[in-house]
Amino acid sequence: MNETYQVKVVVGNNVKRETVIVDSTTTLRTVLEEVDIDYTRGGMHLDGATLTPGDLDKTFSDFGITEKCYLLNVVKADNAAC
Amino acid sequence: MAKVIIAGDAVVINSSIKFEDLKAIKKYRPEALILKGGEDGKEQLFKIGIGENCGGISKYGITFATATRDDEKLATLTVVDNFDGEDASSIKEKVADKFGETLTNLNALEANLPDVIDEIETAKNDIIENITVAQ
Repeated sequence: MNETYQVKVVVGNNVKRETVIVDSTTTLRTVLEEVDIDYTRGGMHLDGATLTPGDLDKTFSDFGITEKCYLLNVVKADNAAC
Repeated sequence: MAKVIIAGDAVVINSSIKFEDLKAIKKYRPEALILKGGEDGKEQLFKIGIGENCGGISKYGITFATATRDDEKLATLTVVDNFDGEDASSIKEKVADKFGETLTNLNALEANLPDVIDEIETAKNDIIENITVAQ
């Protein structure tokens, strides 16, 4: 049986960050959508590690998160044209 | 107030709230299961969760997945620790030290839940009274 515990997630992007507590069986995508973070642009990072396609449908326990983590969407601005 | 029972290496945490009532709160008033605080009072500090298979406990919350087998049907969680060679008083001390913060937050949340349960029941009864089964 899978143990379900509560994890603290700091979720956000370049301009907005929010702290939520969710079930460890929640998917990353669910949390992003609940906090209204647009994940269609930029790179997604979980505790600083880059996420790849398919990872958003995995749960926090799938990633071995046991207590807290940072789930951030980072949009890098284009360099100014010369 | 939540109660803790220790049997062997098992630590059983019994909520003061019925498991079915917690499920109802999660369905109708999920925000009531979240303890908030911080500078603006909006930061989530602790949460009571409802698990489907197996509950768990962490610094940030407790997840109940079963009910006690007695008539009270309280939400309950069993975790296993190692108390090998320890006497009752040191076991109590160890459990209080390990789960004290969680239990304090759990008690703070549970204090408000009976009122929430009453509100849900009242709202549900009002709705039921206004439902007519014509055929």
